[in-house]
Order: sequence, then C-alpha cells, then structure tokens
Amino acid sequence: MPQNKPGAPSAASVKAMASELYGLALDDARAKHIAAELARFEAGIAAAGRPPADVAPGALFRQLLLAGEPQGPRRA
Amino acid sequence: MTDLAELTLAATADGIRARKFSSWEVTQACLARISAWQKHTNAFLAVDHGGALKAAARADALNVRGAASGVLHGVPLAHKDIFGRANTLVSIGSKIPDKPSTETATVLARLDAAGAIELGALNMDEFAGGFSGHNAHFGDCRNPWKPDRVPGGSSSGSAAAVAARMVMGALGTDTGGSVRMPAHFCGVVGLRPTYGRVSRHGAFPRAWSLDTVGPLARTAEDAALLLQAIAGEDPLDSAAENVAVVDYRSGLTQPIAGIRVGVPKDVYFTSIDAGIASLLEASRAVLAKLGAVLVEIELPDPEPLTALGLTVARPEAASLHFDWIAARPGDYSPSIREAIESGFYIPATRYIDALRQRGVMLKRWLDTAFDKVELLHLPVFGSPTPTLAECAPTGPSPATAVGFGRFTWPFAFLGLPSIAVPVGFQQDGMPAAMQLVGRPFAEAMLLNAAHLYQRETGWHQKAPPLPK
Repeated sequence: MPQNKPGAPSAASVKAMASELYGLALDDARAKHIAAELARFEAGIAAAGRPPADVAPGALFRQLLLAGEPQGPRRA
Repeated sequence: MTDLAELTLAATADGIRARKFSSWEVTQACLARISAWQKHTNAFLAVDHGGALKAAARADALNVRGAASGVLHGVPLAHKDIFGRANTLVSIGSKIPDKPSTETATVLARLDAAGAIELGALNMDEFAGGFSGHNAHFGDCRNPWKPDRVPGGSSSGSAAAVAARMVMGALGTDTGGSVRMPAHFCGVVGLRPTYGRVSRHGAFPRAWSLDTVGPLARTAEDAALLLQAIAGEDPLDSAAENVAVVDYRSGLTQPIAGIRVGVPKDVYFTSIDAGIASLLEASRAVLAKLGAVLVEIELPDPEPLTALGLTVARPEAASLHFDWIAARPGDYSPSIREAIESGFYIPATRYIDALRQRGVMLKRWLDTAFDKVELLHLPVFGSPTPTLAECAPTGPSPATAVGFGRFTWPFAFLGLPSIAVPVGFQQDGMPAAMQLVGRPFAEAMLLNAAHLYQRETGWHQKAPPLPK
C-alpha cells in the first residue's frame, strides 16, 4: 500500500460517511471545513513518518514515562 | 486588616491551622469577592454560599479541637464543572447532562480528605472543547484583567476565579492546553502534570489518552499543595500510575543552580509577538540569575505533535459523544459539535498510527532534548491576548484562534509535565506566562524553578483591580 494512504477524506467522502455510517446530515460548508481540517492533520502525520512495525500503540509511551524514578527537585 | 481573600493558598492554610483567622472568615472574604466579580467575569456557574459557610464553621470547630483534617483544612476552593460530586448535577459546560453524578471524582474526594472547602462550580468551555472561554449555554467567561478579552479555556472559570482572588485555588483539566492557556491569559500558575500523575476518575473525559487534571493557583507553592493532595495512583483510574508522590512543598526552595534550561532556537517557538518575546527573555534572565544554565537547543520538529495529538483526541471525543450527537445534535454549539464530529471521519488506521507514534516521538524528545537539559523554557501563547469577539466561533476573524494550543498541544501529546508561570504584563496590560516543560514525573523540579522565579519577581502578587 502506498505510504500516503489512507489520506484525508475529501469533503464529498466526509458527507457520504456522515450520512451512511452515522445518519448525520452535514451541509457542504461543514463537510468542506472538516475535510480541510483533516487534511491538515494528515499533513502533520505524514511529516512524522511511519512508526517502526514493532511499536505497539501506547506500550513504548508508557514504558518511557515510567522509565525513571520519581524525580525530586534536583534530579538531573 | 488584610483582605483575607488576597492571601495565597499556602498562607491561608497555615493561618487557619495556626488559628490566626478562621476558615469562616476566609470563606466570607472569598464569597464577598465572588459577589463583586461574578457579574464582570461569569466565572462561576453556581455558588454554594450556605454550604460553604457551614463547611467552614465545621472546619473551624474541628480546628479548635486540634482535629484539622489535612493540609488544606478550611481552605476555600472551587473547580471546573467537570468533576463528579455524588448526587450533584455536573454540567460539563453543557445543557445535555441531566442526571446527578453517582459518585465523587477521586480528586474531589482527595481534596475533601485534605480538608478543602468547595465554594461552587466554575465555568468552562462546552465539554472542555475550546481554548477561548466561550460558552453558548451559560454565557462566556470573561477575563478579570479586561472583560472583553478571552480568559482562555477550557478551564476558563478556574483561571478567572483564581486571578480575581475569588478562590484560593482551583482544579482544571488539560487535554491539549486547557490548564496552561487560561493560566497564561489570566496571569496565574497552571500545572499540567505528567500523564498518569493524577487520577481522572469521575472527571468527564475529553480524550482518555490525553486528559490530565491539574491545579490553577496564584503561586507555585499553592499549586504544589494542591498537587500534593490529588496526586497518586488510583485503582479507579487504570492510567493513574503507581509512582511515588514526592513532597512537593519541601522541595520548593532547593537551589536551581546548575539546572540546564533549554531555550529553543527553532522558528516554531521564536516567531512570536515581540512584547511576549521580551517578557520571556526577561524571565530567562531571572532563571539565569538563580543559577540555571541557559542552553540554546535545537528541538525535534514539534509541528507533527499537534496533528498527532488531535488525531488521537478527535476520534476519542467522537466515540465518547456518539450517542448524544446522534440523539441531541441541536444541543451542541455548532463549532463544538463540528470538532467532535470530525473524529468520525479519521480512519482507525490513522488513530492507531498516532498512538504508536506517541512512544516514538517521546523517545526522540527524551533522547535529543532532555538528554541535554532538565527543563525547556517556551511560550504558552505567542500573540497579544485576543478579544472574545475576535475568537467567537461566528466572529469576524476566527483565524485569530489559530494560535491556540500551538505551544501546548505538543507536550500534551508527549505526556510531559508542564507549568505556566506568569512573567509580567504586555503593553496592553494583559498578563503573559512562560511554559516550563520537564521530564516525566518531574513536577517537583517544575514547581521548584517556578517558586524560586516567583520569589525573585512578584508578578503573582499583582491582581486585577476590584470592579467598581
């Protein structure tokens, strides 16, 4: 699969998903606004690159948070 | 005699314990402040005059018998209306909730155990979903320094009430900046603890993976006392970690000589308003005078962190609100609803990738930034304080809101502790703050540096003048 998929949905896709998946009515302006915002998120995610395959959601994050002892005021 | 409402939380707690004055007197003083300020700020959603005075009288009776319950005995507080209190309806800044809470949030229970008194419920952005202090259902919260300016959000009432000396301290929640942003705009201290430092049980979520509960107070010492009372593991919140809680207050006066403070040279952090940049520069000079070593540092790109954070937050909010959005869409403000709804359209693969990136990014920051410094020194917000009208969801220039969260979201995504500390006033008289960010569970160091800074400066002693 190409690295940039699944990209951010278009306004038309957002509108279709709203209706088909959630039964929500979105007007064109809101769908366009949401699609633009999701495209901004997507650009940020693309800039971060792909995480290594062996990184599970949340596991490394928690491991790193807990890696140190509780830090007193002067602990470097 | 000094107006007791002007005392810090720490001085109030010490004074009550030593019986220099009573909890009842302090509570009366705070209630008088609320009477004077409420119509100008709309910081409170509800005030419990009678209940607060009864609780204060009980606290005084216990104190006379030498039975003070804890470090906050008899101290009047109030909190963002997002924390459950058994048999009490919590609004979450919305008209949708219609059932009283069945249990009390862990943080409120811990404050109760420490002897604190609750004066009422504080205003907030609807469902903690904004940074400006707007609330279409209960009225906007206004900044006590200038009522046309944003107080910041979503813990808007918490910051406004502390700034105007209506309460000694307050709790807020910070998902992407909702404690630090209002602290900056209102000129108070706001601490976002490490993810997992404080239990969220009983606090209505915004995004489970990012939510934190933190104190807003006038001083770092006050924030230390509040954090001391609420921090620690909780079997009712599986994310509240079993990490020892150090004595935050006792560490406040340790010298910070030799502590390395990173000052980023990246344009991301330096392209800010000249007035705020000047205040931040002056604050760095104070830290240097205290012996901190300022280190110019190149940081990893912070830009993706906000996008990643929102890619986690939006689907979690959408999941949380799914039933209400379907059943009562008209009961949400359009902008709040749209932000929540956007989470419906983020693919699950992207959400999972963002969660996977969290550890990768934290490792990168720990390895390339926090291996060189103990603290980072950053802005909280980089532009002059906007007006409520400028940031209104339907206002003339919603683009003003673009800068909200720019400097706070990245560290929320990384789960790192960060503190907003007032550093003076902009040309227009509005306060501004620096943001110090530390390594995981380095709250003691943040509070230590902030406390010594405040001892040197005194910005925290300035309060907005009482309304006429």
